[in-house]
Amino acid sequence: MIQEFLIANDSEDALKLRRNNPKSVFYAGGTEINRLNSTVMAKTAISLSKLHLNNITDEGNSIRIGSMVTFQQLVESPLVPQYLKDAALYCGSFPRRNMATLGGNLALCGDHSYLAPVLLASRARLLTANLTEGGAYSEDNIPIREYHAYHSQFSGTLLLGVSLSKDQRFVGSSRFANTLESQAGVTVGFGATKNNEGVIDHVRVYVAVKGSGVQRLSDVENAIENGELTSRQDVQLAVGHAIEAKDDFTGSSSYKRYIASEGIAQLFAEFVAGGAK
Amino acid sequence: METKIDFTLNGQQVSVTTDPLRRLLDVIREDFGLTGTKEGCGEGECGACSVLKDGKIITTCMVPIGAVGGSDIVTIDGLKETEQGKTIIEAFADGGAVQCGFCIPGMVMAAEDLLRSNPHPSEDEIRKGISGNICRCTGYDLIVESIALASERGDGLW
Repeated sequence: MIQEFLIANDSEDALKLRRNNPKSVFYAGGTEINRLNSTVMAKTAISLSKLHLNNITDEGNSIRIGSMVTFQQLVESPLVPQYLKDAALYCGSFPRRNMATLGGNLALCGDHSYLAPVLLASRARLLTANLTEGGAYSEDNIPIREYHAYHSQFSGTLLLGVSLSKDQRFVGSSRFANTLESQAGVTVGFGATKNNEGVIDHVRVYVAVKGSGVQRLSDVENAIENGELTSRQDVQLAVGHAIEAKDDFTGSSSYKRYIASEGIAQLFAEFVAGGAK
Repeated sequence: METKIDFTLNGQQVSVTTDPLRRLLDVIREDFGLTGTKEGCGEGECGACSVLKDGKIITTCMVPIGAVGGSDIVTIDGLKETEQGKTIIEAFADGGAVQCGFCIPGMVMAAEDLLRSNPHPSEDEIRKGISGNICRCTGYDLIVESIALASERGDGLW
């Protein structure tokens, strides 16, 4: 339970407060920390509201989105690609979209995350800040897959923003929940490129399954790239076998397997039919 | 530990010295006596406690007062004194949108937020505009019609 609320003056201050308060968390929009049955366990919240991380800028070959950008800003910005707007709109409530932030949703990387699967599928890069052991401030630019794969090692890392390449790439996501307000049983993200000769490359398949975390289906990715999975049915079968799922209030494990595999198969079929998006 | 927090509430600069973890909802209702803002679910789902923070609709049950410093807050008690607020409230009354009434302050705030950005919304846009607000009485149709009525009557206000 949060017992202390601190406001950081800048990124370095935020990291120092985080280091000096071991049971602390960064506080972005607060929609996950403050909600009923929150899984965030901390004594101190460190507000990032003064860090000026709420801008979306065109960087030439990429779009930079600050980590404090809200879901509604994503929806309204002409710079944000449609696949990310679609994912932000899975959050059906206006007030919540005005509060929830890209950085907060990504930092938790939860099993009901709105944005993690699609950002992982997009091969985004993350702009991060850290303190060295000696206390020196440093910034870095890392692949999002690294952040996901070694998530626990980034607990003290501050997310400054996300960088999205403007390269041609198909990216899509689907979310399956009982209602727009409910936590989703399954959220899937699929991304891939196809060159002029029809060669499929850089496939990313991520599935967030309630109770089982955000999973990368590397075997499915490799099989698609190698040409072993070529049809919608092939992909559906492979995904259904590859994911881990548990029975819970959002659905049975077999339902989650089916719905996740159907979601990825639909996106794969769209990709094959349309190429870059 | 108590902290002094300055913000603007319904157009007036105010200051409160309190535990920064108290909910904005409780500070509005208990410290300032503005009880028009209601508590429904207490977990950010129903929208009954909606206010405008820096021009954006939010749910006050999810916001600690410590996160409000320097912000501009408009509640239903402030909005009802404006021409825009009066127009929406009268349209709700005339349109029969109010049954038990508990969700209505939040609905009016959502309508104001919508009409500010889109003074002439379609039915679909109105339904999306109140997507964060739950009503368990009316089935929404009369609320949607009343917001359309407010848009028509308040032509030029927003």
